[in-house]
Amino acid sequence: MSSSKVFRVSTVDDVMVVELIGVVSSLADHSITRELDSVRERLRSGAFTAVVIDLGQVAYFGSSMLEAIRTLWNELIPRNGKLVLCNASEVGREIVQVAKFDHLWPLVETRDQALQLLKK
Amino acid sequence: MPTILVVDDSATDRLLAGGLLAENGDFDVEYAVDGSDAIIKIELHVPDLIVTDMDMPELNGLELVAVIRRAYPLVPVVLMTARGSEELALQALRAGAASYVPKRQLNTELLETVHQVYSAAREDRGRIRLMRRMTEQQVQFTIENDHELIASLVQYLKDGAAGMGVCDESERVRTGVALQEALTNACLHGNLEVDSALREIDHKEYYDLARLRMSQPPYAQRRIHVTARYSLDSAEFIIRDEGPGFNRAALPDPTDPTNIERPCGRGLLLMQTFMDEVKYNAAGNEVTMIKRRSGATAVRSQGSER
Repeated sequence: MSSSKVFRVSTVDDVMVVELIGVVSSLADHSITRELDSVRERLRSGAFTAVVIDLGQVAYFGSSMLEAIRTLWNELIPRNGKLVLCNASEVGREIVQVAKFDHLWPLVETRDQALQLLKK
Repeated sequence: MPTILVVDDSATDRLLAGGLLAENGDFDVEYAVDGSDAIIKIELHVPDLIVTDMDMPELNGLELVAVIRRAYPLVPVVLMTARGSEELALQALRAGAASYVPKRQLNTELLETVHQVYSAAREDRGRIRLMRRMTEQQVQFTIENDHELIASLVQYLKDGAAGMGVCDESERVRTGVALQEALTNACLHGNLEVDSALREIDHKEYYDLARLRMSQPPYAQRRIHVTARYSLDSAEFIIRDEGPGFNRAALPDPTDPTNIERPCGRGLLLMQTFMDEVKYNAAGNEVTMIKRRSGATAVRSQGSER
């Protein structure tokens, strides 16, 4: 049984899909850092170079979640990987744009659009 | 006498449920033949409680719950579930339905469930009506550097702002984000004195240090002090930590393209974006954030009293 509180991971072909399923209040919460490290490990061991972050299950998130996404991005940089964000709520989209993270990664409406973008 | 609207496309079940409530429950009962008909009936006369079937043409029980939660948030909904509609019922409960009764147990359970839900809703309604007449409120908290307490406090404070009518739903979420950032800053950077520069090198080391200091003097003894003042026009949040303070001017600009990937200053940026005013004391260990009520967020005066 999965004990994931924040991240649900699946794969579509060779793309890792990380779905946010809970609010990250603080990465100082040990259980959340453990989950994040487990996702990083899976990303590393699977040698993934394409990641979709699906924000559809959370109404909002803050800088801690942005920090978590950036941490996953750091794993992809040495492999010239790609990361795409999708399904953000109105506030979620605003948060990504305020932080200018949409300058780093594309932010699209749906998971299908995100997967299509990674296939190009 | 309280009114109950019974919604079911099956005439047999509709009359069975309505009969049980009318004969034994001191309720006036009205009927609707499906979700769409229910909306028309509710617009004509808002009932005290709604009992609805799940599986109906036009507008099913789940969709009806969503409409009622939005337009008549104080009217409770009790679901009648048939075999096979359990998943839909679960979704409806998550969407805000108050309770459910399996159709095969209507005879034994409907009346008791409706009584319980109606009593609880009447108490809630009275409290909410009273709260809507509050004109000013101040609350103060002193909390430890505990992320669970912080999360609960964020919830409480943003609900307070929404309860006073300062925020509508989307502004409530934005207020919550700003509060979360301010309280996290007070905890991590203020009381625990963990420097964002360390996070640039190794995020794990950064958070390990934060956790270590949560139980280590002098950091562990420090507290976060929060004052929230609500009025009909604004919500003001003052958050103070017991750390040495920080120099905001020394922080890199997170919107500078060269700093986008650096993990510093984004929390402050979100606070500034989602609050109407943000100011700091000279020492840099206290932030005051103000959320003003805009014309668009006159939620308190809208909608039915029910």
